[in-house]
Amino acid sequence: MSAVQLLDLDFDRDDGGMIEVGATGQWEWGIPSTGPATPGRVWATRLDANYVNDATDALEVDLPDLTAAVRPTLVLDHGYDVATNDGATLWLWDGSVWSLAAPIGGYPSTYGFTARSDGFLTSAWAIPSDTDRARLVFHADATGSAPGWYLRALSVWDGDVTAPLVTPIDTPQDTTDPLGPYPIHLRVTDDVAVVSVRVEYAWDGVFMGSIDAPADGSMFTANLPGAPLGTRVAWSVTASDGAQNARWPATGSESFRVFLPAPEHFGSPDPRLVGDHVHLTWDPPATDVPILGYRVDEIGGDEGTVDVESTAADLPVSTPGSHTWVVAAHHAGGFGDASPRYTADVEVPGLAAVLPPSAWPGDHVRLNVTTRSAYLLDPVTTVSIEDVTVASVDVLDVDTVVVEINVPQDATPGPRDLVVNGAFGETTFRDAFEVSDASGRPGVMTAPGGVEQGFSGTVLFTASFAYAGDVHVDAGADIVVSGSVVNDRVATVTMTVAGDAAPGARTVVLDDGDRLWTAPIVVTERPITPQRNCQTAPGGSALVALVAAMLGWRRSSRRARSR
Amino acid sequence: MWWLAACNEFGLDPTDPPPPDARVVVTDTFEQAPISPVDLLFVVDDTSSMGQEQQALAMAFAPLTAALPTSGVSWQIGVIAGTGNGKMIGAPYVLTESTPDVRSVFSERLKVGTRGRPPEAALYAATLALDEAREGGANQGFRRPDASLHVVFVSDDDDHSDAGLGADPVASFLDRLALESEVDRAVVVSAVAGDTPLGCTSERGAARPGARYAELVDRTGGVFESICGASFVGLAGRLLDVSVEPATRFPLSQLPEAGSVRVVVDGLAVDGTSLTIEQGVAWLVFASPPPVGAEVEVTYIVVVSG
Repeated sequence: MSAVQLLDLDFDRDDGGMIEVGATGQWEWGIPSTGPATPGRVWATRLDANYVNDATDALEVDLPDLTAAVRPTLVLDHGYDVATNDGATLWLWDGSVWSLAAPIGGYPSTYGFTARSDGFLTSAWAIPSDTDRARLVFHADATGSAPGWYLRALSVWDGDVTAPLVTPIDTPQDTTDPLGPYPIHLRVTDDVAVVSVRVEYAWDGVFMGSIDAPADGSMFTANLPGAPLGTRVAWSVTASDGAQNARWPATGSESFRVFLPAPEHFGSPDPRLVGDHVHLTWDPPATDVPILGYRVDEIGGDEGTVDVESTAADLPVSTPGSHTWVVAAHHAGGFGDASPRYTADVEVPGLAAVLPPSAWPGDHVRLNVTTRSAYLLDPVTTVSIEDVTVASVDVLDVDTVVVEINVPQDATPGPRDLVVNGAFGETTFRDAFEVSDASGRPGVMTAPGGVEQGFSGTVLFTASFAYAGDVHVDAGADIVVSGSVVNDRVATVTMTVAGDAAPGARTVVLDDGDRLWTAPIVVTERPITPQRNCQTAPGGSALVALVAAMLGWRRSSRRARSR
Repeated sequence: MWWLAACNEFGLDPTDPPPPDARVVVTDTFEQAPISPVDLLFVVDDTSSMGQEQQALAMAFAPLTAALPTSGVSWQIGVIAGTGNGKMIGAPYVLTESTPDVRSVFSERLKVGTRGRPPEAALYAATLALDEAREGGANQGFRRPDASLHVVFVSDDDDHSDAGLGADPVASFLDRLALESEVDRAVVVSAVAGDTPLGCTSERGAARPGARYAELVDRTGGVFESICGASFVGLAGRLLDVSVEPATRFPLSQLPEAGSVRVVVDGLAVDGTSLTIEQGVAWLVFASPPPVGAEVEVTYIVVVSG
């Protein structure tokens, strides 16, 4: 049945002939500066200020003759902003008594229209046919005030002018269940019978269909079918009473996700992340869906993705610093939700310096190796170089190690990898050291060819280039070195050869801190007439040296805490 | 004058019989190294009252990293939060002379933040840090076998490690430090804390007396600095002084004959040394350490059975 309008009062057009009733006379007609925004003229409980407290004021209007109307309905276009315990209501006069009339769907509170409306709205009342006057009553108690009540239009109709009122009771939320169904429970009310309630739905923006929601009293339930994992399901409701339709939500749609949960407890079990790989672990997502594997992505990094079948992965890391990863489970339909991000500082071992960076075949040198984040650790740390003999490893701190090496005479010239073991494992530094061509090898160019047993004096060792510093000289057993002076390429060494020093060839080692220079020397025999001697001698270093030389000295020289 | 009495024989005649007890003169020469390696552990209070102190101390400690290299010491530094689990902060978590821009890195690392939840159990945190410094722990590499240890506490409150270390946290912590002083390594505790017994105030706030820290400093010979000090001038230098104690003990290569030891330092005979034998090794012990760089020459007689 189409509706027929019986009264049309547009308060922007004129004041509608409304009659003020009440003590304060606060109803005003015009353009308001308070309350819900509207461009035109309205009736309001004061246009430019909050309403008056402790007052009851009303507007009355005569209604047309409704006795012939089948379904008379009063419709009010209004807005409100009303303090607690105050309220706005509609009263009807049947010729003998005023009666409170409730709008279709009811008042928002027992005080009527209270609190704040969402802008202007339309409320409708089914009114009796014997009604001949309506009164819009605003009541305020003694405390609290607000802008008040604002009326834009009032009309009376014969017929159905109100659409069903749809109130969602229980709606689907994000779910891990791909099977469904996903029930939507609604309450739909109207002043007449609701003819139909239908729900339209779409998957990822693609319309899939509509389904009826059967009624159980005023309750309606629609069961949306199951959707694949990873789908966003959007839906909306249309309810009809045959003459008027209502849509919920009024615009747009509601939605929920059907998803595979993210893996849990994503992170590294290691207390420190040091190395060119990071070991990450996680727990499977809580789901009955078969998991085919996992994908780990680095966020903002350049290491790409790693796909694995188990709940652990070793992720490559090439640069030190902060790195961020996420992991997602892989199922037959795609990937599930990504885990929360895991961010960690990663230390990547690096090489700062190797000094000297090269050596010649036959060299015996100390390499001062400085690293970054290799966490060198005594006694864990080992160092190896292909084709080169490592004689000793002395860890100075977590970054520095001194490596004494012997380069074989037949070592092939070329670059060598340096392999270092630290607290967190082995690291290979590519081409970190080089064996030079033997033709340029430095060495001791001149040295004494031989020294006699009992010799005491100075000898010269001339190198092919300058010594790095003072030299420590080891000439072997029974040769006491009591001093040395270095001048560029020449080392002047003071030595005493024991009378019973073993004759023959031996090697003298001159250690300048960086390089161990070697020179051959021969101890030659000197015939000495045997004799016996028993003496008491004054002390002092010269005497000690003399006696010691006679006895066959043992002299050791060490550095205490020599780092 | 010191006299050496010796009755000996020498010769090249292989037919001579060996002496029944040969007496050999041995000279061991040492150079007093500048300092022993030192591992520095900073334990910084990270409770909410420490924001301004951390800023000031970061500036005060910064000279330490500048002074350490010139001192010749091999050093390592780790920083932990006073309310933390002992895991050292930052990457790299051990700072060395090789760490790029180490001075500013160290200053920033001392600003451990102010989100720590009381109680401020610094002794317990330090204990955990040392435990984690063992091989396989989160702080491995921090402790070196031949390095001394210097723990520096920074707090405006006293320690509250009773829950972790028992009824006497100071004694428990000293017991833990004793494990670090094996193999003749020095262990020192210093503190920047509230004055005892009354505490103190400054423009940065108030501090309760750091009684436990003061006791540890007293027991180990470290440095105590009031956290209410105006600018901590010279703090880094004083910490450095106690971190770089020269060696006083030198191991001899042989067991000397009693009374035969003669000691010469930089060419001058010295007294005031003693001899101690530990696990078969004779140690020459100085009452006060020889100066850095000094040459120590120890001459003595060894009796060799024939």
